[in-house]
Amino acid sequence: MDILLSSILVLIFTSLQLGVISRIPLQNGMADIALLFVVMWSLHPQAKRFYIPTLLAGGLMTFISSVPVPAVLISYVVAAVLTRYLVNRLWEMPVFSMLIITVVATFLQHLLYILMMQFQGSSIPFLASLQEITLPSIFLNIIFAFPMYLLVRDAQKLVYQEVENE
Amino acid sequence: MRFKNSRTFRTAVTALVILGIVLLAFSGFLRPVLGVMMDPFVKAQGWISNQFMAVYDFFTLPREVTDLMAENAELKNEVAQLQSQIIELQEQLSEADILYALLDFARAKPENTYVAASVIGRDPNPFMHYLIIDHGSDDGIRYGMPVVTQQGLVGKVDAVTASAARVQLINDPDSSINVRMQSLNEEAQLVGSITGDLELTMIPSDVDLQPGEILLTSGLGGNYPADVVVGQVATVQKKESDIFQTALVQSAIDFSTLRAVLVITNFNAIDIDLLTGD
Repeated sequence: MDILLSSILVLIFTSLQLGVISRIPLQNGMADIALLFVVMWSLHPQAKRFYIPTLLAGGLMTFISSVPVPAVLISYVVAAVLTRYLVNRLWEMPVFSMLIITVVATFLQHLLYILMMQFQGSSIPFLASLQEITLPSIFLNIIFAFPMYLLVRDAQKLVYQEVENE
Repeated sequence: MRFKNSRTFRTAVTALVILGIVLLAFSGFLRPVLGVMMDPFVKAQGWISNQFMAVYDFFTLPREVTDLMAENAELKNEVAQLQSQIIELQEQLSEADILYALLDFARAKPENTYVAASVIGRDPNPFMHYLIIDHGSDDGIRYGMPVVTQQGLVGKVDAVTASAARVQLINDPDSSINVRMQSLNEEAQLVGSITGDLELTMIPSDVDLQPGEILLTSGLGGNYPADVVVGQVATVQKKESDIFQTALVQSAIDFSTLRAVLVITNFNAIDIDLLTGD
């Protein structure tokens, strides 16, 4: 049940990301709600199968995006694994964890993109990227993180309650 | 006497009196008397009726309010639907305007064949500048085909699926276009950047480039057809010591509001990487 729900949500958020969120830039940065969904889903202590929405979201984004092939998938997997790692240590402070992970995951994702693109020969100035793209993206992701957190928590109540009752 | 006291006699007299009163009443002779007698009754009846209606209203009005509220909600719903239809029609009108403009452009250049497509998304990666359109290989779109609008050059097709395609915009950091300055007839190279700015490079320092200069594709390199408007020079950056000068270019297209594009399907991009060894 949790696999089904998370997969449907991944499809919805990916679609929203392409059609809506990508058109709302702040300077040149933009939010990544698919990444946020992966982080928020993995935050739940019972989300043992977090790797399924992670791989699905990463795979879809890799297919759609023009970023060099493994970059998106790797960044999503790193974000999810980091989330699970911190959940086991900061489980009493989910909102704090959520904020920390959002910032760190966005930064790591952009770092990975820059490295991959420079490796492929694109001229990506690091400082300009940080100022014009990464910082606004982090800011946007923090803004989107709160509603996403509440939404995913409510959705997870449905599936993980059922698991508890079983 | 016996007859007088008989029951039949009393009944007959009573009937005659009643008949007489009725006849008098019908003939109008009793109107003043009836008026005096009926007035208090009518007033009392009116009062009772008013009180009854007040009580009736007290019990029935809430039901009517509920009905009115339901009707109001229904009307509001209808208004909302009509507003939604208006917005939809305005959208269609706006889309039709865009398509008419594209059609005019396509008619003005009959040597090309076009496929019109709607923009359905943007690349989720903020470092890259790509669009996703709703037509793909099923509609004859292939890798490398140029994408334009009536205003100028948009970019080229970078990836294709059966029903969608990804378009690399001219302001993408990996984009590089050979352009020609319209009035000076000099050539240069236009490159994109991560911020979406367009920079004109490789301009010889002796060229007297001024802001406002129109840039067209030169056709060199084989990636784009010649003479498609690309943009306009905004500012020129020139240093005495440099061999080349550079300039910032304002694109002819606002990429953030782009909704429909034309793909030139009879133009085959030439991959010169094999010749250059890149």
